[in-house]
Amino acid sequence: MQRAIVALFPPRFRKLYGGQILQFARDARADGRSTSFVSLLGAVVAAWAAEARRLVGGRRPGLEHRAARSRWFATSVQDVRGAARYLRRQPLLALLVAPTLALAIGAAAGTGAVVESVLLRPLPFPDSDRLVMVWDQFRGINDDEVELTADQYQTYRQDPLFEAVAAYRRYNWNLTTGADPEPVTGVSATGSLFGVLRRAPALGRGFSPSEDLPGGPRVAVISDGLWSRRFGGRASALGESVALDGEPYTIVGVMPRGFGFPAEGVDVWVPARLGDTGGSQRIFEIVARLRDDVTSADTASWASRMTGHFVDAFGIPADYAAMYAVRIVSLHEQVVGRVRPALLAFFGSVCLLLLIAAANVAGLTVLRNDARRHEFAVRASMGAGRARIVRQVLTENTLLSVVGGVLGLGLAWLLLHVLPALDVSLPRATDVGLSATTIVVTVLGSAVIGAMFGAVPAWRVTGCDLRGVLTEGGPAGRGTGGQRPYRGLLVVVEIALATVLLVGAGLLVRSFINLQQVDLGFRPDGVLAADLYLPASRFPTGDDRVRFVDEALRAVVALPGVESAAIVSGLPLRSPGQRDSLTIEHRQKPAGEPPIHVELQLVSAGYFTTLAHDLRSGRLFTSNDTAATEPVAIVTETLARRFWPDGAAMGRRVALAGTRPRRWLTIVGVVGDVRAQNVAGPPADALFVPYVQAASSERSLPRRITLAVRGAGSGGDLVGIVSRAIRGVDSGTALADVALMRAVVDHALARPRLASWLVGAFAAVAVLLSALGVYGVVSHTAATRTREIGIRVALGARPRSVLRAVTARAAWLGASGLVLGVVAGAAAGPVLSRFLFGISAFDGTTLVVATAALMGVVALAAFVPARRACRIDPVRAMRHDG
Amino acid sequence: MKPTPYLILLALAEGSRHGYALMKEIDRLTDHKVRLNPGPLYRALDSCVELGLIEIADERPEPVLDDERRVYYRLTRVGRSVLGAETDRLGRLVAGARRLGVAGREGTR
Repeated sequence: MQRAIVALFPPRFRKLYGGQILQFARDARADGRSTSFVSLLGAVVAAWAAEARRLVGGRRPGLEHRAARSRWFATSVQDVRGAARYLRRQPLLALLVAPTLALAIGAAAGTGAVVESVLLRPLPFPDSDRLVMVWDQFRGINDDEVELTADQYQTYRQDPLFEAVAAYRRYNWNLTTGADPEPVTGVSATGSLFGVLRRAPALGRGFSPSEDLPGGPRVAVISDGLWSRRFGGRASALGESVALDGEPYTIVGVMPRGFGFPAEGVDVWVPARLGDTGGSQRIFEIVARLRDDVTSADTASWASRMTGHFVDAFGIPADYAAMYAVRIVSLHEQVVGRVRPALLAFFGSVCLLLLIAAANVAGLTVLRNDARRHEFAVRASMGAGRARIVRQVLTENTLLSVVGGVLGLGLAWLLLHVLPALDVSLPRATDVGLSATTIVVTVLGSAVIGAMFGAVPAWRVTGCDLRGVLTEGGPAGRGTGGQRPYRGLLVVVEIALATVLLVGAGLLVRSFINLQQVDLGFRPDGVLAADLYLPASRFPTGDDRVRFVDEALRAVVALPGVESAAIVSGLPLRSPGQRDSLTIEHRQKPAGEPPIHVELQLVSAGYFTTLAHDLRSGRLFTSNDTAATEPVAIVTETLARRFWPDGAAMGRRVALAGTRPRRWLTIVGVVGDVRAQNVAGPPADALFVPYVQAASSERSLPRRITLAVRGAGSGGDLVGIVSRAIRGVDSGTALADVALMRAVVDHALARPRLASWLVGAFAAVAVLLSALGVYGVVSHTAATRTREIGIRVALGARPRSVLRAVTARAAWLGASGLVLGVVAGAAAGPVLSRFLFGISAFDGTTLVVATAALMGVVALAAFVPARRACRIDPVRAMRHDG
Repeated sequence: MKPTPYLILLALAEGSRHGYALMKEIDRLTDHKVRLNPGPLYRALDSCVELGLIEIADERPEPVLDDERRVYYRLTRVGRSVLGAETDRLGRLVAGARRLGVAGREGTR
């Protein structure tokens, strides 16, 4: 971007300073600042002006120049004033055109701003294009990235492909310094991390090599946010200690504001203390900086070489080897790759909409100018040059679109401000904003659009013999009418587009309603969820954790306003449970059958009451299910029906795959299906186990558990007292990720909700546009045929036949548009059906309702001007015609 | 003299600097009131070079500390005397204003 702007400078200036300006921008980036494109663009203009002055001999503008310039300026002011006056006189026009443009420009500017800040702006690390992530991948089994081992890190570290390599893993800690414990997300990383990212702490230092060795001292680098929040931004915080899960770490550095790696909101970085040691646990993520001379071909061949290397090194069996791959991906791609196609597709369609809107406005302008031929002719006869008139028309149009552009910017600003509330998980969301670049591009863009589409009507004005118009008569004179095919085509396309969008919006809205009515398998209202981290340092054994959980639950249930409370290893739609696979007693496994995957949930006895799961048969867990009694389990309905279709699940025994020797769990109950992963997908098979029993086996209660509390009210009022109650049990434990289950469910539906809103808004704009187009066509027909209509009315034609004559063309265009739209919609059906739930892309009702609604709007848009035409007073029409 | 060239001369008073360092120095000198963008900065540098107030410095810091794409500027003798003269003029102007009892918000404190 900067390179492109620098290329615009005059050659002399560019040769002298271009390289320096780019270096300036690099320096600024290294400092974490951005360089303003706008000021650069401004400087380009100023530099050219200076260059021009230099060419004419460095002469300052003389008196003559100034006079000419002021005359030009005065004329422009006059034009703008005239245009403003004209638009005031035609409020309907201004009211139609400016909001149309504003809507289209606003949508384009808003999405443009998102595209610019998420996709185009480089990540806030110097030379960030050299940063990559390295992953393992098992295609077909686990398409996601798989973490790497310390052994792999040690291998990559030596690799000449990279300038530097860092491994890190993410943690959740309780920060226990000071009065209130606070959950923080942190990272334990090799000392090379800050070097790889080329960002140094703003205060203090990174990790020294000796701190990154096994058994090294406990030190930490903290975020600017944590520094100001917990240490008041004091420089003396360096050397102080911060306690993570009760372990003290000495603060050695504070990162600059806005630094967040691997994610925004990470507050603490501590050394991984790996040194040269290896390990085979897949726990590390790896980020690396490529050497400057490495090309993408190099990385590709490197990845396949490494794949071969690790197939051998890990001893991956032959039938899995084909699935294994080393995957190297740019950091930028890693961060934004997932959203790129959707964002670009969205931006593209918004731009299309903008073009159609602008073309439509141009059509309207042509129409209006046809009616003003008389005025132009009068002005021409009084000595206005043709250029002067063209300029006036251009000014009017440009003014209109600039007004639309400014309104659009306001709309875009509004859009970006409601974006967080829309609850879409967008990467780099904090970076999103209306940058100066976007503002300038928008305003310039709308002026250009205005001028471009103003040029069409302006040329038309000059293209005809104005004096002829004057002598011939009014706007209805011969040779000034005629049908313009391009406008007809425009109307057809608009109506087709509106049909597609309206049908799409209808389908998405109905699919969203379906989603909301899905039986989740639990009742989210009134349930408060919060995570608890139980660090090994405070709760070393499973028994310690069980003891804490017992006490915590007793304390919470005793609180006023709490109906029930439970502990669970993961809540549906919120935090995934553990994936596990089942073995069923006395069942011959068919050859080639894939493992029976279940979501394993460790729950306390009150869980099913708290979440209000439906018990289908058998019993729920009670406090009598203890570590000493028979191990029991509850399964979901679909799972039970699959293996025991006769309903004989009760009393059968299953075992989790990993337990050796097999630890058989007796099924004591069946509950309704639960939408655990998402609302739209099929319910996940789940197996519930009392945590007290699990804790005594090798699958002990995880460190991170979830507390669910059902209150009498919405649940939100409980946060304070529950948090106090927990702290009363253990002062070092804090509630993390507190959320109402209602909000969790809403979040799971955020994308379909947003999609139906957006497409709905598009459809509204498209309908408005086609109404405008039809209105234009009919008014134009009526205007060019005023005399004919006058004669017909004078000869006793009925209003009905006049109406028919005037609207015939519009009706024809409308019908073609609808047909085209339905065909296009049918073609788009397969694509759309991916986004639909519980409704076919070819749903008849939706189609009929949407097309009928559109037809109504189009008919109304045609009727208004047609009606006016019928009311023509024949006498006046003839006289006016002269 | 326009403010930007004056600030540039001022920022170079202590020794040679490259573009970005100049911007930061000006930022510091003006209590963060003036943040020059690269476009205006290099345009002003251009005119200062043309007027012979500053020149490209040939002494550079150690290569390890530096990027050779950077260009360092320093005051010429003319530039240094212009800086002095302009500073005197501004000083007299301010002194005169103070005698008239003119004070901005900072003066009334």
